[in-house]
Amino acid sequence: MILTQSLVNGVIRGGELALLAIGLTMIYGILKFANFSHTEFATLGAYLAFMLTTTLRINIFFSAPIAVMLTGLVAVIVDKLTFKKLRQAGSVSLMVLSIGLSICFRSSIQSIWGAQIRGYPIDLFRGMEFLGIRITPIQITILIVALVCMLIFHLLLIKTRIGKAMRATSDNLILAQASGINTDGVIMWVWFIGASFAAIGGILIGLETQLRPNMGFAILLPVFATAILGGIGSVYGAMMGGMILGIVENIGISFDFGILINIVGISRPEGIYISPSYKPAISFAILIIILLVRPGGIFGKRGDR
Amino acid sequence: MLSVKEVYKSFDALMALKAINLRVEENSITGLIGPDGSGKTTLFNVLSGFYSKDAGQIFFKEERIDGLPPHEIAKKGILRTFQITVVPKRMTVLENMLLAPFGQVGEKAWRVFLTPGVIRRQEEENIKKALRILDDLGLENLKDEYSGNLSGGQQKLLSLGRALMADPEVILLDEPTAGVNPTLTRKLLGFLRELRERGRTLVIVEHDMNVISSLCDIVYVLNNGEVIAVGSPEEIQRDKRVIEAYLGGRKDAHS
Amino acid sequence: MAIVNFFIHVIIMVGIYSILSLSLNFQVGISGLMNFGHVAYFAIGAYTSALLTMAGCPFLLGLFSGMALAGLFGFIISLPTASLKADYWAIVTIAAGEIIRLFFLNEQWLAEGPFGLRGIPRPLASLFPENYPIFYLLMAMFFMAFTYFIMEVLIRSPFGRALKMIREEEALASSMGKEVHLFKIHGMVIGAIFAGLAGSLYAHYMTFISPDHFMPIETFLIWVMIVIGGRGNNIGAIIGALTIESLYISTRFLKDYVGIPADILASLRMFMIGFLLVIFILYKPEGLVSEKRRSHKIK
Repeated sequence: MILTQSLVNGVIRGGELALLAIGLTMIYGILKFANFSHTEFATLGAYLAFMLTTTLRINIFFSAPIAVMLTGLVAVIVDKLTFKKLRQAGSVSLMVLSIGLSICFRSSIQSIWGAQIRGYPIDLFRGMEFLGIRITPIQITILIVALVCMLIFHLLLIKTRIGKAMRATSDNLILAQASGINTDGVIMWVWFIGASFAAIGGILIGLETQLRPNMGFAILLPVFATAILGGIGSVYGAMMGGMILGIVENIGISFDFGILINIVGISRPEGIYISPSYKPAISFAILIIILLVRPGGIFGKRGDR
Repeated sequence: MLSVKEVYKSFDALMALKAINLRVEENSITGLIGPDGSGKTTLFNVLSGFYSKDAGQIFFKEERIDGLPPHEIAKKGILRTFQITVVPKRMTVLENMLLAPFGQVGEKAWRVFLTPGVIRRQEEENIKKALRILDDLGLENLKDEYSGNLSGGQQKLLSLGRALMADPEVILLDEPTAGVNPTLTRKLLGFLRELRERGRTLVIVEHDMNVISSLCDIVYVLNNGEVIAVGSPEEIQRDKRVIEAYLGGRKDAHS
Repeated sequence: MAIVNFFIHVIIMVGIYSILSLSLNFQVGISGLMNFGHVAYFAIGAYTSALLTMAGCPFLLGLFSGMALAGLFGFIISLPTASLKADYWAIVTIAAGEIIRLFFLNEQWLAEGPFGLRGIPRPLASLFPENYPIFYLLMAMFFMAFTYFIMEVLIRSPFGRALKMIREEEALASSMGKEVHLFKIHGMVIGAIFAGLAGSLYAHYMTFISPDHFMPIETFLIWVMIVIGGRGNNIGAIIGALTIESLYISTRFLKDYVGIPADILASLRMFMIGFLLVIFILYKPEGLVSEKRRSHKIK
């Protein structure tokens, strides 16, 4: 069934979106600005893993975690050098700064590795048929990795001290500071974890498709849509939002809107479909609708502006 | 002229205004006093359209104005000043004044090109009026200074001057003398009296009982969002409930 | 001779980008509207003018239609302004701009999609068989001056004054009777109209446009121009356009003198743009030219 295939594709895409959106939503919630350079961490992680795998010939199982850690580190350094200086500035200045940084990241990566498409030197496993659904081992990997990451993060938030500190800081920065929490340290960890997750997402996307310098930027708006849909600052919202958006995107292009017309009596045998190249437009449209109707998202306060 | 009937306003669990009934007579100066947090500024916000009320009605000259957005209420003739003076910092004092009058033809973009003559004449008139008011207020020499560079007291005078430019029928003044030195305060009070002479209606939120006594015809006392007393300044100063409200408040502060 | 042609090209591009810069500055710097989807109006102006003139319409009709449609789109985008926070609205503008680009990319029946439109007619080409670029340069300069003039008049008018107050203290403006939402819509539409003008000039000069010319990076480029030039300042906007375009175009020369391949040079150029944006936002956010203080002459 095409619909089940879309569902599966959607869930996989949802996992990718969620991984990238977690960091974005945390930073947005705590530091109160839209970080347009967030998805560049995905690109950076993907390309660092690529470099480690090809140039240094390290096995992907090792180069991936190393690349993820490195990206997390880069994020912490970038915050110290740039965003930290503008903590008191308005959200728009920070946004503009992040746009400048995203341009810097993207163009540096392109300068070093070139604009051509790259791929990981992994054997392409053939897709399998499973209950009528086509799926590749890499896609299964993506699902497992995404779920494991979210589970680990959930445990971190609930069980560990740093996790509790993160939740407190995310709820109310000033109150957290007043309670004696080292919010600067928390912020540093949020950048590290957020960027690491983005890097993981980037590597997974690179494994599933390919590496291009603008792979992060291409997914930026869908990731924003995910974060906003789930409610800015809500990590669980980002996870749910990712799933919903991934599924809607995929079903949206495989859904025959001709069915709706048929109800009215008009028949269109060849069906009415949204062209696959409009796929990103689906998440843009959802983004716009959410912001107009319920900016707080699923887990935000009603009418939260 | 302005009447408030059974107005309620709450924020989540907090009931900020309870069954507020108020009448403001034309050409009077009405005072609004009460301890901090009693709901004075909230009431002003509801009156000027910045907050929506939960229940009740507000009438201005027999017309209902509750539910209207702030700019509509302003255009009907009710202006307000803010407790913490707000000025567009990077605009000059004169520009601040020129922002105030209603019905400026030049504020419509296409008219700027279609009827420049009309606009120029309006501007000249407005500039003359603004300079007169600034002169009265003693701010004329600061006319080209960025309003953000003025002292707190001068900014207060400027916001009063702005209100005067617009010639409103009713002005809601939120703590007009807070942070103003005694000399300036006397000047201010003189202005407010003159405004009443010229037929304006004022509602003043104040903490300073001297100001209230010397200016107001009638005073409403608020406590915990309710009106607990109405009367002349002398009457409410002797009112037991009022004394309790203020003293009670102070007692809590010390415990 | 080639040098002269090169300079003519640079000045024409500076002219076009100055109009873009001035128009975005009106939205961001004067009206306080954080528009990150400005390229959409550029694209609408370009495509509308191109398609109409290719179908036989005279140049001026194409030009005005492009401006009108761009303005219409600006109107639609600014409708939700009243209810959204600045950064949420900024995201909406980017998303909307991308939807426009995807529309032109996918609807091949309209504008050839990814292949772009070729053979866009040049206005009055027959009158100037030689030295056409000089004519276009004069036309571009004329429109740039025209835009500057309109912007200046608007900014100095009571309309501009009200916009500035709304930019600075929106709640105060409301309490003084200014209908904030209406003013913001005006600000957006005016900026959009002139971006459409720039788009039309661009299309007829390049004679070839495709969706690739209207990627989000174009909006960011214009933002760099106004950040460097100084927000809220028309002269600054032009200086910003001049600076960035000159840097942009002159680094193309490096290809011949330094042995760096063209595409890496392109990304280095991009890096420089991003770097300038970062440095200016961090250390000189008010830009190179600051807003003039308005003092009134009294008769």
